[in-house]
Amino acid sequence: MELHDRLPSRGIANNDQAEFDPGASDLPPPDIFDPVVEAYKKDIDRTLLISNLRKPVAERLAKFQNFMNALGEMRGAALPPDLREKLFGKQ
Amino acid sequence: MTEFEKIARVLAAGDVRFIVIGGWAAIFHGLAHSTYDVDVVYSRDRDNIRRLVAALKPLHPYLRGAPPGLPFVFDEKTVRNGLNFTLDTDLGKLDLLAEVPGGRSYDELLPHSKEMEVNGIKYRCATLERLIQMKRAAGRPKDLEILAALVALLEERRKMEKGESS
Repeated sequence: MELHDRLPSRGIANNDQAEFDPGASDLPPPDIFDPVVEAYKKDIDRTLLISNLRKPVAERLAKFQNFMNALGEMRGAALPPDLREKLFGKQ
Repeated sequence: MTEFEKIARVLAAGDVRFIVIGGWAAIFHGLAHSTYDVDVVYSRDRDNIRRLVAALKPLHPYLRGAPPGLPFVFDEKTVRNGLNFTLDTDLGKLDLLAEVPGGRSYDELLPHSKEMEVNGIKYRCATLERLIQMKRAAGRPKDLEILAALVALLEERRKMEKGESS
């Protein structure tokens, strides 16, 4: 989410006095057919999704945090020592 | 490195009313991808803003990307006068959002969220269906891949619920 993101139009074209809809029913349903999304979907590795769906939420989050920590360490390792120490402290 | 669970723990311990959205919420639902910040929609009521500020102040929130030394005071007045804040904190990147495309405000998102308890922390997370709608509403080309993955995730979850998954 970016700071400059703004609300889209509520889709009320002809009736400014229309009642506010807390359910935001003017949004398309989540499974609406979209050819662009369909094109992207072909490249999705569903085995990963299925494997995650079988895990409890706590395990999904732990796996993610471990991955992010490892990623951080790898990034740190690629930095010059002085910059690494400045960003991550003495290791 | 953003400490996702610790940020949620701080907010939950401070009794802050918030809903997790964005990449982290997608991971809750089973998406396999990386994200670098915590996105939350917070309630704008006065008491909640007070609790939010009290909970986050010890984490030294500062506007992300702002030049060092820019006078920024994270207090109730600042939050009341602002809306969406992208912050760096001692625990990592936190986006505090009052309004989001497709999800809109906390009160509007609330019926489209569910409470989860993870490692002893209770907090609310936007439903997978609403995350998809929010991504669509944001309309950013960079989100297309994630949007497709979320839609695929929804399909796989539905198959699993129907007992069709292999």
